[in-house]
Amino acid sequence: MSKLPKVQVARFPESSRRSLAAWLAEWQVDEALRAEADERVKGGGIYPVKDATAARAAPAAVTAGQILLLRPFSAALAERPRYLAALARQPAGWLVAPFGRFSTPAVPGELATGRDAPPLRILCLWNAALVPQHLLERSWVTDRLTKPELSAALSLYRSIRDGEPPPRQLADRMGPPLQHPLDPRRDYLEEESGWMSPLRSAAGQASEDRPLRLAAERRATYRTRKPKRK
Amino acid sequence: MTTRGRSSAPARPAARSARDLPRPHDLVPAAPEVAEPGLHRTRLAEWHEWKDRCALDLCSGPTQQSLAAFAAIHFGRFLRRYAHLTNQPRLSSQLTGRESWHHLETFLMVRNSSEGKRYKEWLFARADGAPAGDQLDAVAGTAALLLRDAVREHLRQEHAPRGMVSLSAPVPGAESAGLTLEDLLPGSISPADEVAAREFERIAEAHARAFFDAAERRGRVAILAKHLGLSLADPSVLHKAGCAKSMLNDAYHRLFEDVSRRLKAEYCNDDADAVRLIVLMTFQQMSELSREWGRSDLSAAQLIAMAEAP
Repeated sequence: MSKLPKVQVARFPESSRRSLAAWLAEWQVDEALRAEADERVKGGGIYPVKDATAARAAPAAVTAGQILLLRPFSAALAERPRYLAALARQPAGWLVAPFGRFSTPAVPGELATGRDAPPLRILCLWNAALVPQHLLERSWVTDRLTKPELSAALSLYRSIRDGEPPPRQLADRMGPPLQHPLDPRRDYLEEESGWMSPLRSAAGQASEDRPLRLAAERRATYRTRKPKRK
Repeated sequence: MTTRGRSSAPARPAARSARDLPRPHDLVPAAPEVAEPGLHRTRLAEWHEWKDRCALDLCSGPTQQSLAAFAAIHFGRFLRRYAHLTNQPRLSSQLTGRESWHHLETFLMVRNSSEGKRYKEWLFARADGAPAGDQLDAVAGTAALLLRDAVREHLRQEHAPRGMVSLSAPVPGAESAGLTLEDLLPGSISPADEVAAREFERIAEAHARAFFDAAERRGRVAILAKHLGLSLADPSVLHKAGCAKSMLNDAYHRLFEDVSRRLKAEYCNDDADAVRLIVLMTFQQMSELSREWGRSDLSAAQLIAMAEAP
């Protein structure tokens, strides 16, 4: 005999399942190949990072919408090319969001840009941070966000920051909810927030990454609340 | 260029998680050209030529051959390794060296302009710290690392899941926990069931309190750290838990699996969807309780202070 109250469970759509399956498949390959690469390919990784070309580069103005490739001035930034979108200038620095390395958004705080270029397919708003201008102005400018792209990025960022529901028109470009404590995406979030931490620290906001990440992790609830009437 | 559609069938889910697999050095030796890097050595001048001339096709014949051979070796090696790790012996590279190189460039390029190919400058800046004699290793080694990501993209294009995705399919990378997509995306209680939702919350809270009170200290520290957004590898967390990272991680997994197993046993006659939700809601409540516990535990309170520090 059943003991729990009868309940109607609202399932996520097939697209969420498909999106999660695709992301997990990429994650699995990434994990497997990383172990191989760590073992066999050590070129570069064993050297102290010293980007002498940075000193010769003239600082350039940072403007909203720029897509920047960060110079490899730390071990984490030397691991792979790290692209950031400059979203908005703020008193403490630039609000930037990194691009992710997979083709599918992992969580609701990630936005599929619709671009074909692999480095720029996913914008990780949950991992946005304030970064001092001097760390950005010697980066390489590689492209620009369009106005609609910038607007979408900022609206999703604000919804995460303020704990509000994400904009409805972006729903099919965001990742599936994160509900399970042992979901592999939690490892991914921790890893990705790790490489941004030194940049945050440089802007004096060492603990600022956790609230946004936690917001990304806790986006899903197990109880769908009725929308508040305005 | 995309190679989508060339494969005959979608890949089946991997048999085991990469996390659970033996490290590569425990497995068969890599191909000879990898085990003996001296078999094919590129030259630093070739890499500079490629950077300066913008595309491989514009380089001299020997440089084209050398870099294409480099790409073929590493592309094939990563692909073979993945095939071995996931027990998919048929997975192999049919790509020529030029195609492998093309995959690398396509993967790295932001757009087809000099601005869109800044990754080349990044690659050479990346090697700046290397001693003069090791510059080649730094450039080539980094390019090989980037080829790994190009292989991941190639596998995605060739072997991505297609068609309907089964809810009961095992989740790649999480088989050790026996998870399925259904576990990861159980859904939520319908808004129409407000009364039932409140009752679920009440039941979950009661279970959470019992489970949390019975949990060992290590599990409590792990759940508190996760609740606070702290890494289980954080030295302060490990110090409070009094164990290594792997043990703390195990404690967290064990705690969840114990909660899950016991609730599934208790509600064995209930709807599976409802049981999944009560398990997750209970664990979420335990996470909330961990903060309450943390405030009353002198040692754990330091973690809260750390997490809340400006």
